[in-house]
Amino acid sequence: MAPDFVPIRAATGALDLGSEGEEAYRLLLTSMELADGFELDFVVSPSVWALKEVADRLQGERSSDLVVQMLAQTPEALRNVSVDLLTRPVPTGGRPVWVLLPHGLRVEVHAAWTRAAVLLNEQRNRIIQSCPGTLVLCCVPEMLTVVHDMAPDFWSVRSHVFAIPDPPDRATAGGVRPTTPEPWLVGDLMADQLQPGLHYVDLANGLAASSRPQAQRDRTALLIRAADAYILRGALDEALAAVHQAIALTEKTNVPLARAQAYARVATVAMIRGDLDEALLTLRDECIPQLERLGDARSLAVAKGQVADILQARGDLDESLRIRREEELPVYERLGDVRSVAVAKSKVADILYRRGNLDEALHALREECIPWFRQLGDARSLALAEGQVADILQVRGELDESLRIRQEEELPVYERLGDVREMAVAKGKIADILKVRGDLDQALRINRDIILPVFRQLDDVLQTAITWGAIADILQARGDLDEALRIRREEELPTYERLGDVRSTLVARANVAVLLARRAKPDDRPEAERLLSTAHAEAVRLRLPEAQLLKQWLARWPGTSGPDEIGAL
Amino acid sequence: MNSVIREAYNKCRPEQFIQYGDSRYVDFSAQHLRGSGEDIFRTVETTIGLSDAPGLHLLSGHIGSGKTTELKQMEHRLQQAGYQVVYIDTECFLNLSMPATVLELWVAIAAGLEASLSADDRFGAALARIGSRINAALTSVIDMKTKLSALGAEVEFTPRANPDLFEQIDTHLGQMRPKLIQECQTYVEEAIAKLRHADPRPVVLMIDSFEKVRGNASNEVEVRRSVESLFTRDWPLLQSPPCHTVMLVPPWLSFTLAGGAGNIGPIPVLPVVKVQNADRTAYEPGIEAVVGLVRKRLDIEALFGDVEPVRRLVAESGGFIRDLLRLLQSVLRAAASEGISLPMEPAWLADRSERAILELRDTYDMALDADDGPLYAAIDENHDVAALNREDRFRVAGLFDHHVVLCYQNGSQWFALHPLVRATKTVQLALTRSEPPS
Repeated sequence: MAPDFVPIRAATGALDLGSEGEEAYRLLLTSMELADGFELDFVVSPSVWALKEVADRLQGERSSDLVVQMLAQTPEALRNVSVDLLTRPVPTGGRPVWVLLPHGLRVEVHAAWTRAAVLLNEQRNRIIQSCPGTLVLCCVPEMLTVVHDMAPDFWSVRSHVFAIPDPPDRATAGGVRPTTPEPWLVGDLMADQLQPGLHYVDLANGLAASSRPQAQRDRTALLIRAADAYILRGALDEALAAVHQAIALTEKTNVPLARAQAYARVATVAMIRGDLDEALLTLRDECIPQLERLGDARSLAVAKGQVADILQARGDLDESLRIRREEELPVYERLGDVRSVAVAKSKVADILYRRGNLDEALHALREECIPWFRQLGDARSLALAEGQVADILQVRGELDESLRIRQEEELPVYERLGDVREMAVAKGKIADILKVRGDLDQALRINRDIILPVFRQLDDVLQTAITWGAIADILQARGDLDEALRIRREEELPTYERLGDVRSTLVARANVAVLLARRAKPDDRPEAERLLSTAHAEAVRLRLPEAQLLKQWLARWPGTSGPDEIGAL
Repeated sequence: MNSVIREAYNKCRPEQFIQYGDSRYVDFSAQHLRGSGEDIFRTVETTIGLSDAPGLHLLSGHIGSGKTTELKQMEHRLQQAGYQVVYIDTECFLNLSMPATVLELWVAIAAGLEASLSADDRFGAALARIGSRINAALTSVIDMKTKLSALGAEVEFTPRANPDLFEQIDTHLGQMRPKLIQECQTYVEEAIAKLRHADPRPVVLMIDSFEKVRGNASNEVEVRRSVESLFTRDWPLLQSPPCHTVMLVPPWLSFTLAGGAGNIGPIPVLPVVKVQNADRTAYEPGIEAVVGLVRKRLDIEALFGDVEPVRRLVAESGGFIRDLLRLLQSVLRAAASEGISLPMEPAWLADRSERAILELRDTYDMALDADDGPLYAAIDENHDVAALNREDRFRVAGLFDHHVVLCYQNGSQWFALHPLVRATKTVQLALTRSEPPS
């Protein structure tokens, strides 16, 4: 498996390419000095650093009469490389050399290469005519086969393939970043690093053109990534479509790990939609047995963690806590994965918080999670943990300290990371504190004027609906019942229904019922009762913890305890 | 930098094809190294010369086999023999990675003729644009305007820029295809008539690049079926150009239609130069002829001191000239890099030639698919594709595209693994596995 292409680092001095590599580089230079007109050369190495070194050296080459231009380097730009070659002015003042060294996540580069190769093949004759210089394509061996397969005419006119073995001093050069395990769960993904789902689907479609098994494996990985991107934006139907396509591919490619990963996404979608039984069933039938057979301890621990998430959502906090402590944490500890240990402990703290063990939760966060995240330099996890501390303090009524943490510890991290989504979420929490303090106008302004536009721009329909819900809560608290009702009915509820998010739908329906009851119009009462009954029935069917609360409401309905005392869910 | 080496290096550029009159051209066919009789291009020329009735002549060959070079030679010879030749590069008008239909091919021919006439001062705007003609044909049908509006006002006849065009036509105007084909045929007839009116010499159309039509993993079967249909089911619709037409078609057609659809007969394939026998012994006349090709480009003695190292490279190239040129460039590059004095010292040259061979062999090995092992073994054993099933023939077509399998002809056509490919670890393993247990 080839490594991920890594972001181009600043040149830190020449990397020793080894005797064979150095000779190959000298021969490449000689080719450039000898050739008149077009020449196509490949530089191939399993080391991305070696390829980067070649590109750096060519750019800094002073000994020969070369005018070097770097071509498209990102997967996005790669698709335009043939147009780029045909349209950019030919440099003067020496022999033109165009260097193509794409970098990025391996699967994305693979997909983009596949597309680019087809176009290079198609435009081969025009490129030969328009480029009176050397075109150097730097790639890992896997990408060389892409050109071979997808661009046979283009490949046929190559002059030479310069092979550079793994350089001897990789470690001293900073090392090639190892391929990190694919993150599984939406919660573990860095939202700001994910492109829209369509981006990955498009790349995956590009790989459909290749018959190589590796291409189909990468296609599967891209479809799973697309599903993650869709899930993050609340596009659950699209996520399921991508993940089912991935599952179909795993049947052909026979990659059980990818299949288990794909099913984990199916479970995630079911969980988001509130269908916790389906989520559990998927994990227990399709995902966990597969991982047990593979003996993949880490992936198994992640899947068990997902089971714990579901149980927690269902209110089965004891079992959820047991899984975290007995089946998830020990695996990470055994693997020496400090970060995963700290993350799992923060999830334990969350369960403790929900069980009302606030002191214990605070202790776990402050003593066992935050110091590790600080030591690891994991700013994002640190911000998340600080956010959890703020949640606890808010519940304990320590609003000033909670607000300080949000504003001084959490928000600045997301600002530094440029993560607009998490910034918006943190601001939502700040608005929530302001609301509790009674500063309804300010809370409304933040939700409506700052947060809502961000989620709309991100095309995040789920967070947009949640923000509308927060706005309705504030309006409701201000007594603006008609507008709150309109928002619940027209903005919030339809989104949840469209997403198939049964849990949020039933909560939103119950909240509409509350508003109708509070409006106290006689005509509203039948609808309010119907909505509440439906929500309760759904919660019972799905075995959601909300069922208990809704049952209590219904028992009192329409008794002396008016809806005013119920409040929104 | 040694100017002799520089000059030699640039005479070995693998991407160049030889224009008529280039002193580097070697007529291998005349030496019966690409078949025992006339070469396939001269056979077509003879047929054109003998036959008054127009005909469509299909030819093929793998990438880099010299088709375009031979086509250019043929173009010149036909002009010398009193023909006017119109060269149409279908790559300019068709998306060759998509399924092809008879309508698309006719549009490409019509558009190619239009381009040729437009560039000729004698004609100016004598013929309406083919796009306008087709628009007129479409809009002449009742209610067709409504359907056209769904296509976006007027059909822009740039199929390459609008890959969905034919799909849209299929969707909206499915029944119109015969009429559109007829319109293109009429256009071609009129264009040929114009050409002949201005110049009475007979016209020959040369349709290049259609051999590159090639699907990928997602549409491979669809593309191949579409092309097969062109030359079987739609064959009558293709035969009607009012002049002789020479067309290059994909080499795999000769495998997949072999023995089947008898309408078009066997499709002649331009073989590589025969430098080896089926038993892999060297074929001396072939090697000598290719050495002659090298001699036309380089001063062998001044550079290499002796012809023997060149003969070794020729043998390893399997007669695939682009590989030979790559091998020569590799040696010349190393000599320039190391400042080797000329002629190269024999021991150094032998060592460097060996390394060039190994490097090229390893490049082949990098791209070979171990799953094709049984096919490698079958071809190495039988030198034929006739016994293969349809699926395997398609696979061989892919191997043929990548020069893993080479086609030779002396008397009948036969196939062999490229010598460098045969020496790869992947193929050696496949051959070992295929051997019956002793």
